Amino acid sequence: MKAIRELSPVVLINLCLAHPGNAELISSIRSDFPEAIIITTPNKGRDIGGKLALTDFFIKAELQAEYIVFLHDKQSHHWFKGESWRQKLFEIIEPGKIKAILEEYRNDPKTGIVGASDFIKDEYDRKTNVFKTTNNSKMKELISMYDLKLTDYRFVAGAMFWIRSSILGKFFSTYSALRCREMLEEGNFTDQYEGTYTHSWERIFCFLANDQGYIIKGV
Amino acid sequence: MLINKWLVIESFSNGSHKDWKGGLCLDLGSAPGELSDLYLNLQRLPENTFAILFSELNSLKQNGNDSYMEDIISLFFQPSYFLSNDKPVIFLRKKSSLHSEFIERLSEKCMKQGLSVLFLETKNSGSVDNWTNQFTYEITSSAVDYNAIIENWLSHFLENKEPGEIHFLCRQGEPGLSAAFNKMQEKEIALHNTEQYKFANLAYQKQKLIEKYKKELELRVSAEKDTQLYLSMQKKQTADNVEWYHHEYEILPTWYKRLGHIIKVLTGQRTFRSLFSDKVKKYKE
Repeated sequence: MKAIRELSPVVLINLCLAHPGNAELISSIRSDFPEAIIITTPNKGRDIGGKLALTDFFIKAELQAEYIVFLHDKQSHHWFKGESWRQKLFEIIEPGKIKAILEEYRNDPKTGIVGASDFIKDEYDRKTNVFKTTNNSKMKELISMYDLKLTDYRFVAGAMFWIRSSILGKFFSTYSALRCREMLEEGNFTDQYEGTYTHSWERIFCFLANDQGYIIKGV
Repeated sequence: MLINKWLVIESFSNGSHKDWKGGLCLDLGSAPGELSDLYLNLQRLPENTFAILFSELNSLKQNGNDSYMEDIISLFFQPSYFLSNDKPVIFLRKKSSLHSEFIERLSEKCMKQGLSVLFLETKNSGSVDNWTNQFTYEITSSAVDYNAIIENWLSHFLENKEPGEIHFLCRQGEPGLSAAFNKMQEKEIALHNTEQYKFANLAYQKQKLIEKYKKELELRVSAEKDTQLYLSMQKKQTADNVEWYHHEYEILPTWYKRLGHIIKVLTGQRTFRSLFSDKVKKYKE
C-alpha cells in the first residue's frame, strides 16, 4: 500500500454491514488513511455489490480521480489456488507494476483497463455465440439490457484491475450504479453450478471499456 | 443509548449545529443542499449519529422518483447513519404517514439493496400513549414527562414487545428551545437516579446484548453453511482430479509408466536411488 499512498489517492472502502467488528476496523483504517471514505453495505453481490456501491458514492460525491483501482479481500475458499490467486491479483499495486501501468495509460489513450495478464480471460465462442460459463444467459441479458456493443469479450477474472474513471462515469450516469446493484444476489454463493448476476457483472465491468472504444491490457 | 437526543436541521451548510452533543437529524422536507457535500460531511461524523426525518406534506410526492430514493439509500450506507438492529432509522412526522405509497416504494427499494428500514413516527412530547412500542417525541417545550415515558417503556419491555430506543427530536431554531432543553437536561439527570430508569437501562442493555448474540449466531450459522458448501466443492474438485489422474496416467501400461520414471531420472526430475528405495529423497529441488 506504500506505493499507492505515494500517489495521494482517494481511498474508498466498503465494509460488509454484517461484520461485527466494523467499529474497530473503521478506526484502524482511519488511523492509517485519515482521509479514507468508508461505507458499509449489506452482503449483496459480494465484492461486485461493494464496488457498485463505491462507484455510486464516487459519482454522487463528485470525487475526482483519473484512474480507479478496484481491489477486494478475495477469499476463494472453494478453490485450492485461492490464496495464490489473491497474491497474483494484488500484483497490480506493486511499486514496479504501478509505474508500468501508469506509463501504459500515458502512452496509449485507448488503454481502458489494466489487470494481471494471467487473469485476462475470454470465454466467448464466436462460432456458437456462447459464453463458455454458467453465466452465459445472464451475461447476454445484461449486454442487451445495457445495449453494449462489443468486439472484445476479454475480462479480468477476479475483478481486481485499474480502470479509467471516465468509463465508469459515462456508463453509470446513464444506468445508476445502485439500480444495477439491485439485481445482484444476496449472501455468499458461487457460479460453479448456476450462473449469477453478480458473476456476470464481474465480466460486464470490463465490457464497459470495450463498449466505449477502450482496450484491456495485461501486466 | 436508551435515550437519544436529535437536533433537527435543514442543512449542514450553516454549521450552527457544531456545538450540539447529540445526533443530527436532517429534515428532508426541504432541499438538503448539495448532495455531494452532504455525503462528504457525513463521513466526518462519528458512527450512528445521523438520521433523516420526513416532515413536509408535499416534498415526498414531488421528489418520489427512483433517483431521489437512491440518493436517500446512499445515506444509509454511511457509517454515521443511525441503525437500530442493523436497520436504518427514518423519523416520520405523523402527517407524512399520508405518503404511504412513497414509504412502501422506499422500503421496497431498500429491500432490493439488502436493507430493511425502520420508520419511527414522531409524537408530541406531551402525549404518552401506551398502544405503540415506538418512543419518538418532537420537543416543543420542556413539558416532558420522563417518568411516564420510562414507565410506559418498561411495561412494553415486560410484555416482550421489544421497545426500541427513546428518541427526542428538537428542531434547530425553535423559539425557547435552548431554555426548554436545559430544563430537560435537569429532569434527565434526576431521572437517572430513579430505580425505574436504572431498571429500564439495564433491560435495554440486556436487549442490546441479546440482539448482538442473535446476530453473532446468525453469522456463525451462515459461516457454517458456507464452510459446508466450500467443503462439498473441494470434495468434488478432488474427485475430479482423481478421475483426471486415472484417465491421464493410471490406465497406461505398467511398462510405459516405469519407462516414464526412468525418463524423469534422465531429465533430472527424480533421484536415481529413489527407483529402488522409498526411504531416500525422491525429488530433486
